[in-house]
Amino acid sequence: MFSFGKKYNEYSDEQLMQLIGKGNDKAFAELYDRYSNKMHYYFYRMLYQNKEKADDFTQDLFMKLIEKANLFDSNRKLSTWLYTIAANMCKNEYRRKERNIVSSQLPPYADEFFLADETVITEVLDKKLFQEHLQNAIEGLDEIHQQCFVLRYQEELSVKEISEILNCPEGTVKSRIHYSLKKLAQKLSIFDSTFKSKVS
Amino acid sequence: MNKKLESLLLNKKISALTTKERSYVAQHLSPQEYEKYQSIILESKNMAEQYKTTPAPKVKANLMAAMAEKKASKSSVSSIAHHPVPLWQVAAAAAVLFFCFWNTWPQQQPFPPTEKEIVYVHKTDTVYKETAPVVKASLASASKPSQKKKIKKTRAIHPTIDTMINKSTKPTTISAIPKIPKQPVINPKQGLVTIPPIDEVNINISPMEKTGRSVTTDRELMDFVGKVY
Repeated sequence: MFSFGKKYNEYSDEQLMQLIGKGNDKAFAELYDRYSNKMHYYFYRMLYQNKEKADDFTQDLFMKLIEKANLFDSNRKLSTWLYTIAANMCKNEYRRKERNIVSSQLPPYADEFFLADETVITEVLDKKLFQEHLQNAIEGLDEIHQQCFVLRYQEELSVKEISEILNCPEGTVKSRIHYSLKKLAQKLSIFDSTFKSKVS
Repeated sequence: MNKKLESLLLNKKISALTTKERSYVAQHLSPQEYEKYQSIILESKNMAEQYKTTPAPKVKANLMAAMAEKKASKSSVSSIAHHPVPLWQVAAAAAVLFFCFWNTWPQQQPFPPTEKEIVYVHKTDTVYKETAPVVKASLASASKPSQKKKIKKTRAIHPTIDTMINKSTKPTTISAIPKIPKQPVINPKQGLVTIPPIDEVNINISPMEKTGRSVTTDRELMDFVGKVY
């Protein structure tokens, strides 16, 4: 199975997991390089864009991977397993600390932006601004809808994978995604005039 | 979210939709909503690609240290498990163990011998002394019941000996019991002896009465039964 002279980057995730279970640190380094950025960004978005928290959570996640490498079912996809653990960690964090999005997290010019009239908005509107507001709107979603949205459109996981991660039926995932899109559209209603002009 | 609709949102702008696709989209979303949803989805994707964060270098360092620790613990366990032992040492150890067991085995008895202990249990049983009234009448008295003197014959009835117990308290009247005539019996010592008829034996039979029985009364009863029989 593990051919001699094969480079670690040629191994599949599942093969690397088997090696990690045997205490192979090079296999772990390879796996870390593959997933650390993804998982860090996932934690960063899910946990209030706090980089230090994302660092801590990433470390905890990979510590679990080291400790429980033998529990990993090689028939399962590693990315799904990692996201499942990460999603549970986020859930626990939400439970521990009640979510509180304060206006300080919004961009400094957000208040002015909301108060400005539509003509001003169309002038100021650019891609970056829309993205900033979108990011805040995503964070404003409740936990389950935010997870579904992030996993589907930012992590680009399939509906089936998300249903495995969140341990719920595919239909529920679909309806949650639809709901989160609808909710985001409502929150970004200040950009409606832009869309109207685009469509017309 | 419908799979077909989602795929259109991800891949086609509203202006690029065919007539068929437009009519399909119109069933679910307005053109403005379509545009809005598409912007949200595509911008979310772009954000994920643009703003990637990286964990601090110390995270990897800490994890690699933990991994090295795990490796060390694994190798120490496996080194003990796979440590080569000469065959003669294994054989010697087995011989010593066998010798120890051989010497100690007979002394070790799984259970100490137990002595038989007889335990007397005082058990009080309750039996009823029942007497059945028998009115005896001879053939002669049967013809003249008024003139014949009734003789009550009483005897103890033991439950094991006399199983025939009439529980009714009414006295049983035997209408005619044939009188056994006095017959001479030749006794080798006494010579000719006449056995008295049964009606001359004084047997007192009283109506049934229930009384408790103890060990002493039981012994008396047995003595009595012995005398009678």
